[in-house]
Amino acid sequence: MIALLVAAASAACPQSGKDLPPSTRLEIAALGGSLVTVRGAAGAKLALKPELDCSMVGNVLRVVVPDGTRDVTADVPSAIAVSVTIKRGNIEISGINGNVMADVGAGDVQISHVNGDVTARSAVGTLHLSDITGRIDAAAQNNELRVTRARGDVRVSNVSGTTLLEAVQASNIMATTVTSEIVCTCSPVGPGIWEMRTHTGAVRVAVGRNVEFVATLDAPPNASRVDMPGVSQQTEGKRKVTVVRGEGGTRMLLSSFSGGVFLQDQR
Amino acid sequence: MSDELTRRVRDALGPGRTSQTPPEELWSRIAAGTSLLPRRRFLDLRFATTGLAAAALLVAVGIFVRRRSVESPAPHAVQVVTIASLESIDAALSALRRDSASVPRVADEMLFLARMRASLQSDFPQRSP
Repeated sequence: MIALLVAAASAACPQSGKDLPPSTRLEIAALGGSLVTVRGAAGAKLALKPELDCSMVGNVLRVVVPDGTRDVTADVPSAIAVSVTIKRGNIEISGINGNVMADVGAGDVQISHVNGDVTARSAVGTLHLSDITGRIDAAAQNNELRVTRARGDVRVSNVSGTTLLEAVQASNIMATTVTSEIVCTCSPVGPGIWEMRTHTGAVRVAVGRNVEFVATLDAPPNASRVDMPGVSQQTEGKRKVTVVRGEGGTRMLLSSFSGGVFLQDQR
Repeated sequence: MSDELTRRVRDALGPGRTSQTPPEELWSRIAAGTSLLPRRRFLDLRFATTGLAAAALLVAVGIFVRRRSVESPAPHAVQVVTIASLESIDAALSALRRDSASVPRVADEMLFLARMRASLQSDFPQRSP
């Protein structure tokens, strides 16, 4: 019993219960299977459940989760950067006013309410990112990748899983997939380039009725469709259709080598 | 029984022997006073030791099986999915090569797939198990 108490006392993080300076970068790494939850709140002090060992090197606070630890919850002040890397399990991060990175081998990632850049990876699992103000760089392989209510440039890649971009406001969007579908309900926030490309799947884009754009739809003959009034269309060769609304605006490059491309107004 | 043993049994029973005394109590009295006491404690200890060893073996096997079942699939699944993704891209590239790569649109698609392949390897580097 005494040994357990001594071990528990030595495992406590010295920064627990203290303020973290805004420049702090919290890094959590877990080798085993875990659910890692990071919750940011203004004025919150660091609290780790269960108590874990940590080390502060410069402005980087490192927490290594021992193998066998199931659930880890970190309550942190919102004004820090967060990085979570686990081999398997789920990552949930919310309420951070700083950059966030989440990388899981097999498991799901859920990130919400972040004012900062977000980088997310899941080899075998879903990525759900919502209410993000900042650049998004997300990659999945065979599962759903969903971005909701984001404001900032977006780069998403998904080999065979569906990519959903909902209520995204961005100047620049780069969405790619090989065999699946990209569905975008997006609005531009300034001149930029939206490039959405699939090899065998479909690209479906819905924009606001007042949005001005120049869109090039590249798909096999009769596999592209434009469902919006008051636009000019010009066909180039067998595959390409250029659609223009207004003067200038967002440049869209929507391509499917052997699937379909669809452009319509938001309803 | 020998005379010596009979004497020791009689001494052990003492004057309290009656027909109403339960056989178990009689036997316990005999056992307490004679060397004929069955080695029950020794046997119990031996059984207990064997049982503990068997239980420890079962627990060890259980832990081993559980760790194998919990830990192995995740890295394995990641590798399998990544390899499957790469193979699907390679298959698409091979199919395009059968077409005419001199066609600009086909060449552009091959470049796109090659970029996707490189991006996949960059985003999901093979990790050590």
